[in-house]
Amino acid sequence: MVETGAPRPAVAQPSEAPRGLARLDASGVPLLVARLAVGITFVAMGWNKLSDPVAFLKALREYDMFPPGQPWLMNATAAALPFAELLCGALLLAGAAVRGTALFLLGLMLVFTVAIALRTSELAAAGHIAACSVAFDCGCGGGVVNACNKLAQNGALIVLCAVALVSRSRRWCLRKDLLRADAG
Amino acid sequence: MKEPARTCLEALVVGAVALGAGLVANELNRDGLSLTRDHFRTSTPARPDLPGPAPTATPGHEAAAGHEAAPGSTSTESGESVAAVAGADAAVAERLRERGLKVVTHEEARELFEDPAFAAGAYVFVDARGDDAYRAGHVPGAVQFDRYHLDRHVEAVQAACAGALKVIVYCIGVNCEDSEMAAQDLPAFGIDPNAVYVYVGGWTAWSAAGLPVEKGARGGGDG
Repeated sequence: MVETGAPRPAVAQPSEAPRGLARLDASGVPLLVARLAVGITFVAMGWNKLSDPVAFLKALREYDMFPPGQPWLMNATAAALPFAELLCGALLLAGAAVRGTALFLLGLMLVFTVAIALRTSELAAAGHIAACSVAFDCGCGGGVVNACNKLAQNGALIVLCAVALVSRSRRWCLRKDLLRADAG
Repeated sequence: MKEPARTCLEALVVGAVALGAGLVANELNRDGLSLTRDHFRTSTPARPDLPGPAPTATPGHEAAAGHEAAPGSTSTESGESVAAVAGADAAVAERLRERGLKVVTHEEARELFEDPAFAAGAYVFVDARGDDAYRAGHVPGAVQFDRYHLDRHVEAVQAACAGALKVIVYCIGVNCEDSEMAAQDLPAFGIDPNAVYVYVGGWTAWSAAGLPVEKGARGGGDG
């Protein structure tokens, strides 16, 4: 059953919070926008990676962040992540396990973003070009992209994941909290 | 349980289920990866200071991610000059020679293809790209050797290369390492290492030169 109610009355309203923001959150719109944007992005990126696992494996290798002599670790990451992203995107779109999914994706995004920033810096230094002139296939599922555009996009996704994580609204969610007996 | 702890637990559950489902999906996917094989065993990690896959300096340039295109690269079809391509060819050829691999130039590859001995099976082209790229077009008669899915190709490659005087391996072109790694893999399957050559220009140079192309399966004549 889709939850349509207002925030739980049992949860204390932060007295110091700006009323405007609290009212906006209670409307459910910020959570819905965050769920749709992050969900669609991860479903699309996961699907693209799933269609060519070898390309994603090669992209992962470029980051040189896996210990040598342990190929299974990079292989398992390349094998598992695309479908995991697809599944998490679908959970957000459905409004199920929203907080847990948002926290998991937030962690992934932080790791990805740091890795992309380091790789961009490395490529810029090697090519003696500005970081924002670097374009490469970051393995994000979108092919060759401008590094700065990608980092900005990741920044936006991190903010949206945070919105989904902290929002108290339960509107238009199938089952927002998976581990709550009365989650609806 | 308090809310932050419950959210963390939920994240762990979601992550574990999602990653576990990902591994199952990989097993069910025909193009899934072997988890235990070191797919890059025969090659050193790509480094930006070595000739080979390199970043572009073209902001906003978009290209489809493909099995055949190495990460961090764009193909010459995106507008590199002939001189730049020739320079990159020479630099990569030099690097391959330093690693003990033999190299054929684009002209030599064309001459081998046009040599009557090619039709007799003395020279064999080996295409190291993935299924989609191979089906879309390959050197006529080339046998596919997608080294990420070895079990599909080993028998056909062994049969085609048995007794060949020269085995010419190629991938998309200068910006890919699959031909290099495949050339290093082939001796493990009984191919004479002295007969193995890497065609650096690869598919990009071949197709750009307007040379014959075969589409679909090997010997399908769908060209």
